[in-house]
Amino acid sequence: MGLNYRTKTVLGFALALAILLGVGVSSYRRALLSDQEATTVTRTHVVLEILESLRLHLADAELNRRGYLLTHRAEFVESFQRAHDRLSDALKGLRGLISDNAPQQRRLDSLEQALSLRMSYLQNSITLFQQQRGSKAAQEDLTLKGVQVMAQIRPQITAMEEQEQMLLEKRSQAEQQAFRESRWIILLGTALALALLAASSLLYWREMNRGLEAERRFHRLLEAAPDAFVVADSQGRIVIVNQQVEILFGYSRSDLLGKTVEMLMPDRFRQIHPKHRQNFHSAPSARPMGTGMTLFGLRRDGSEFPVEISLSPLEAEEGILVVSAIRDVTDRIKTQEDLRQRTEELEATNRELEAFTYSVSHDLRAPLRHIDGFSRILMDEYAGELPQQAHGHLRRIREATSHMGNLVDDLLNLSRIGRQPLALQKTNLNALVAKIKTDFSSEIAERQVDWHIALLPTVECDPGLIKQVFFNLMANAVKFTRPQQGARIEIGLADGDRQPAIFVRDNGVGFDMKYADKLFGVFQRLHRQEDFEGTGVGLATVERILRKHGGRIWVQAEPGSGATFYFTLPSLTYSQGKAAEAVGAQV
Amino acid sequence: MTVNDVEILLVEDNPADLELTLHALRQSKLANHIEIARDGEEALDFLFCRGAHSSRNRADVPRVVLLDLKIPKVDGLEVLQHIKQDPRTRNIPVVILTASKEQQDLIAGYRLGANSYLQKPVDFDAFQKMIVQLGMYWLVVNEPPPQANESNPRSPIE
Repeated sequence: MGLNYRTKTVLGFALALAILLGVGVSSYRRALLSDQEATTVTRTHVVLEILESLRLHLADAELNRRGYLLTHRAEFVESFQRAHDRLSDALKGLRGLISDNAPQQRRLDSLEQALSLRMSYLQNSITLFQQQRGSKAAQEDLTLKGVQVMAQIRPQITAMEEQEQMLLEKRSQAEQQAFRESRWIILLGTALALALLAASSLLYWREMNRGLEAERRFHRLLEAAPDAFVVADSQGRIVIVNQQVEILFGYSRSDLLGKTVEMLMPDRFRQIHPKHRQNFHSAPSARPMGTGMTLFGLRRDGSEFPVEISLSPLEAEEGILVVSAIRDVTDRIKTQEDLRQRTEELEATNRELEAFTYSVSHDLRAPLRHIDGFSRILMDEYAGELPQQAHGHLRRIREATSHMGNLVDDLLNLSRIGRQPLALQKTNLNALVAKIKTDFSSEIAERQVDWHIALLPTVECDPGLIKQVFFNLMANAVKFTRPQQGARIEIGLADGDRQPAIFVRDNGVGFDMKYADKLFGVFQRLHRQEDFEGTGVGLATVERILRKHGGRIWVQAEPGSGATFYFTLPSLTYSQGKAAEAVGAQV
Repeated sequence: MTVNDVEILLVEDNPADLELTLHALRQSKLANHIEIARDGEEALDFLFCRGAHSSRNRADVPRVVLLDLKIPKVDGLEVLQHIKQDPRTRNIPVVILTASKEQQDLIAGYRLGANSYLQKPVDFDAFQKMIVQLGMYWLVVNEPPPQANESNPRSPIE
C-alpha cells in the first residue's frame, strides 16, 4: 500500500476503536431492548394470570350464587358481589395490559360482553331469589342460559390464552435470535478490533524498532567516522558530538552538549564566528569552512591545533542543524612543510648543479682551448725545428683535447635536457629526418649508403630534442655501417603492443645483445675508440630525451648484421600510425 | 679617423686566451689597433674615458668590442648593459666572445643588446677561422654608425 506506516497505524487504531464503539453501542441497545422484552414478557404472564383469574372469579361467582340459593345466607351475596367486582377489576386490568394488541382487544370485547351477560344472569338469578318471585322455571332458564354463555366464554378465554402463549413463544424466539446475533456481533467485533489493535501495535512496534535501529546505526556511523562531528542548532548550541570530538578536544560529551560551538575555537575567532553562523543559516549548503584560511581548534587544555572543517546542513524537527566535520590536519601540515622543505632543498641542489654546469661550461673548456691553441702554434711556428715524432705527439694532444671538448659539450647537453622543460609542438617527423640526412652528406660523400625512409606521422613533441634523438640514432647508423659494403639505413614504423614504434635500422657491425642493457648508460661504449670514435653520451642522451617525453627505447642487434633501435612517444598512437602506414603503403 | 684609432677593444682576463686571440688576430693582420682591457672596470674606464683613460679623446670609439663574459670586477653582461644604456656608447657594436653557450647567457646577452654571440671553439683552427671572419666582418664589411659628436661639428640633419 502506498500509505506510510504512520497513516496505517493511525488508521488501524481508529478502526479498532470504531469497531469497539459499535460493539458497545450495539450491546447497550441490545440490553435496552432486552429490558423492554422482559417487561413485555412479564406483561404477557400477567395477562395469562388474569385470564386464569377470570375463570376463578366466574367459578367463585357461580359458587356463591349457588350457595345463596341453597342456604339463603346473605354472606354469599356479599361474596358474589366481591367476585363480581374482582372480575370487573380484572377485565379492566386486562384491557390496560393488551391495549397494544388489537386482535386481543377485539377478543376481549366479545369476552367482556359474554362475561357481563353471564354475570347478569347470575345477578338476575340472585335478585329473583331475593325478591321471592323467581319461579323454579325462571331459575332453570337462567341457569341454562348461563351454561350456554359459559360455553362461549371458555373457548374465548382459551383463545386469548393461546394467543398470549403464542406471543410469548414468538418473543422468546426473537429474544433468542437477538441474543445470538448480539453475541456474534460482540464476539466478532471484539475479535476484529483485537486483531486490528494487534496488527497496528505490531506495525507501530516494528516501526519504532526500525526507527531505533536507524538511530543506533546513525550513532554507530557517527562514532565510527574518522572525523570529529559536531552538530549544532541554529543558535550554535551543540546537539550531538561523537567520540572523536572528545578525543580531539579533550572534553567529555557532557561538557559540550548544550554549549555553543565557540568554546571549541581560539579566542580570536570567537567574536566573528556567530556572524559566520548566521551567514551559513541564511544560505545553508554543504561547503568547506574558511576556504583558503588556516583554522584552529582549541583543546580543553588551552592548546591549539590546525583543523579543516566541512559544513553541511541537516534538516531536523527542531530546524536546520549544522553538521561540522572536523579533521586535525597537524600531520598533513607537517607533511606539507616537510615536502616544502624537501622541495626547497632539491631546488637548492638543482641551483647548485646548474651553477656547477655553468662553470663547467665556462671553465672546463678554456684549458682545452689553450692546450689545442698552443699545440697548434708549436706545430706552425716551430715546424722545422721539431722532429717528426714530436709532430705526431702534438697531433695526439690535439686529438685528445678535441675528444675532451666533445665530451664536455655532450655532457653539458645531457644535463641541459634534464633541466629544460619540454616545448611541445606538432612536428612532421619526415621533414625532421630529411633535414638531418643532409647533415651527413659530406660524411658519406665517398660511401654508398641506401636510405629507406617510410612515411612517418606528425606527432606532438619537442622538435629540438627529438631532432637530437634522430640525429644520434642516424649518426650511429652511419658510423657503424662504415666498414659495410652496400650500407643500408632504414627508418620506419613497427607494430608494438599498444602503440606503434619508430625504428632506425642499419646493417652495420651490430653488437652482442648481452651488452644491450649497458648501451643507454653514460660513458658506456661497446667499441674501441680507434675503431669507432664516440663519447658514450649519445644514446644516454637519446634515452633521457625519450624518457622525458614519456616514451621508451629498446634495441635489437646481432654482431655482424646490424642493429635496430625502436622508440615510442606517447603522442604516437595507433590511429596515427595506421593512417601513416596506409598512406605509406600507397607510396 | 687617425692612424692611432682603436679599432678593437678586447676585453679578456685570461692571459692564455688573450695571447691566443692576439695570435689569431695577428695571423689575420688585424692586430694593429687593439686596446686590451683585463677586467670590466678597465673596459668601462676606456669607453667612458675615466681613470687611466680620462685624457683620451671621447670621439675615438672602437669599431667593435670583443667581450668575454667571465671577467673580474664588473662582469661581461654588466659591461654590456652599461655600453648599451648610455647614448654615447650605445652604437658601438659588441660581440660576445665567450666559452659557454649556456642558454641563460645567450638570452641575457641578446636581451641587453649584444650585436653578436660567439662561442670560442676548442679547436684552435676553428677559432682562428672565426677570428678572421669576425675581423673581416666588423672592420671591413660592416658599415660603422655615423659619428655624431665633436669630431663632426655639423649635425647630420643639416
